[in-house]
Amino acid sequence: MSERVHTVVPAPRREAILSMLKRGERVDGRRADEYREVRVETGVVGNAEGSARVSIGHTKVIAGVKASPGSPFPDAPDKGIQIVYAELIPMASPIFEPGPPDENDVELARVVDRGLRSSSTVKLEELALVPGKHVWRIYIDIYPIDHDGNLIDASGLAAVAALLTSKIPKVSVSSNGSLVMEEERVPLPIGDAPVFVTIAKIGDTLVVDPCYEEELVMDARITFAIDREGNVCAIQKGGRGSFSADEVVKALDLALALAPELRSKLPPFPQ
Amino acid sequence: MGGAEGVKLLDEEGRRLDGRALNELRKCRIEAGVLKNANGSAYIELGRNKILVAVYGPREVHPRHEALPDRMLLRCKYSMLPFSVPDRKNPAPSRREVELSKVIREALEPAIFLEEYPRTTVDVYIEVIEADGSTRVASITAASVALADAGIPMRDLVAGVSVGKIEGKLAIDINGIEDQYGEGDMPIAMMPRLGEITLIQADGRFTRDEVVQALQMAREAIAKLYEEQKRALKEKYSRILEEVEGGEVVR
Amino acid sequence: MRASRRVVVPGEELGVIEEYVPLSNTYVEDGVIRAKVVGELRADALRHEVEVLEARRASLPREGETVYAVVTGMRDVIGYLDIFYNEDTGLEYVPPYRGVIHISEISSSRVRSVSEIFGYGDVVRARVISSKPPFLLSTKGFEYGIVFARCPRCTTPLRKRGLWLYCYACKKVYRRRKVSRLYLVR
Repeated sequence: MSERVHTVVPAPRREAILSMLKRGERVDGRRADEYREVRVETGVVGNAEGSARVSIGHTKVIAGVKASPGSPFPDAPDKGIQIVYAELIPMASPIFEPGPPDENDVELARVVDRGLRSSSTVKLEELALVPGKHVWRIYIDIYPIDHDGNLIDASGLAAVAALLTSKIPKVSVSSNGSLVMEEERVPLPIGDAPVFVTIAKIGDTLVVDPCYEEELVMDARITFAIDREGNVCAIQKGGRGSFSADEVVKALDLALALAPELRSKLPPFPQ
Repeated sequence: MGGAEGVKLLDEEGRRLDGRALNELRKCRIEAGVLKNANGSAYIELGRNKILVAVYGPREVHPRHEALPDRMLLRCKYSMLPFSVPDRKNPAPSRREVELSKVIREALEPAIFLEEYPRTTVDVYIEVIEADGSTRVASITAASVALADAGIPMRDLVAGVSVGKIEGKLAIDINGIEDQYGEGDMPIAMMPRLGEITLIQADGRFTRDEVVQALQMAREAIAKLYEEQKRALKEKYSRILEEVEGGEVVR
Repeated sequence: MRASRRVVVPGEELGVIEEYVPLSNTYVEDGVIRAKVVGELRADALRHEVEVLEARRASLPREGETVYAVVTGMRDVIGYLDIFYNEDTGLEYVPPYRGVIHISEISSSRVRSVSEIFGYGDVVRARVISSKPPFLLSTKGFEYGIVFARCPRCTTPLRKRGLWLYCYACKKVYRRRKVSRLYLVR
């Protein structure tokens, strides 16, 4: 679908955006290394273990965390399970069509999943209830509700904010081996919290946090997930174009510089 | 993820489990034009990886509404055969395969003159016959040879390699065990001649300097893979030239 | 015959523009001429020309080639056909390519509507007049036109009688068809 939209955008629009960038201007008046206004709201869904609504400019994403006991994967019997799901629903944009998840939905979910996993955002090893039999399954569901570009960063922020504020029931094991859910809730064990920074390449210019119009004309994008210590814990290049090695390093430095600002929007770590 | 978990990936002399040095590629062999029906094809063996790639097209787009008015539509399908991994893989496309199909397509697109054949499609079918780590980058290396073999106009070939992190050190072309027990994996694909990066992903943790170093290591390894790609294509077509000695080359 | 023949791959450097005029299957980047496809290098030092003879050509039909196609649709001035075979390259097209014929390219005599000249399912021998899809076709010339057709009423294969097509089953003559000299059923 997006393939076709790209062709519909008239070439003159790209030319206009390119010549503006040469003068150092972006379509919405931002600097190349400037994010749109970022807002993070948590606890927006009462029925969820944790939830967050994030907006980056007009882009809005809701993420919710649900937890339920289940059986572990055979290759990791004493670890909890983390499942990230994202769906680009037709509500969010006329370019999203109803139907089963396509490659764009899957890519979004898997990039966020990699960032969370590599930085052990959720300490899965602390989520075994009865090792080998019962573990927590943590579902992180991401739904963009308004699409104005840069869904990855917004989704990552929403997922992390939701996880940081998640509380799961305390569980005890009864004498006959069955699980007993208690009233008391405890925070999810959290190891780290990555932030996702996406940089778009338009012509020869690198800009952070591309808006939808910029995404339509960009050559390629690259996303870095950055953990608390400034390590890279996920990379994803997307789009039809390419980057030189220098551009990758330049983009990485941009991401490292901007990560603290994004991180400051996240809720505090649970005690 | 995380931790070596008791598996030692490097010995005292810094050699890897299969005896390789950190910057050493596995044995790589590429063959161009291995299938009869496809317009272009290639086979790659990288260590124990065995991957076949077939290219069909440029041909009519079905369904027709997917055709693009100003350029060719590139479609890519990466799949692993059920017996390619130790535990049988469900033949239905997994989410991993869906994502890899997308990033592989985007790794190949920058190298192709897409505008040359508008309103047509080129389908790239990748079947992993045996998998032992780094299959996505090996697929890209083979797919660009198959595209060239199909006569698709290209700026450059594309080759890829993965840089892994094992016991805190960066290592080229990680295999299945190193992927499973290592601390990170960064697949990188480039247009070798131009050094343009067309695919980069990562999981695990890397510092800024490690990313810079990984890019450099990848470039060196990719230069070697590029030689093998060229050899495969030249060998095949030199053979054809010799067969039709003197006269016109194949039409 | 050439002393040394060189196979080049996409992206390989062939020369610089100060030295050569780049011809087919090449592209220029920063003044350097490079190969676009795999093939044999042809560098003409006298004429200062360089090109690549493609080893494997893309399978698409090209301008000037003769193809066979089935009529699948007709509007007033346009006929739609599925091109399924290329006589020049011997290639079969699966799936077929979409071909289009304009009323002005059907015949050198006057044609009022496409549907009086062709019928659904007719097999047509045609010349390709554009190398990009949708492929434009022409059936001007004695050798081009319908090479096989069935009777629209009873589906019996039509036979050629002089310049006309004739159905032996319903004894009907089709006079206005553009029939090729190479019509198959006599």
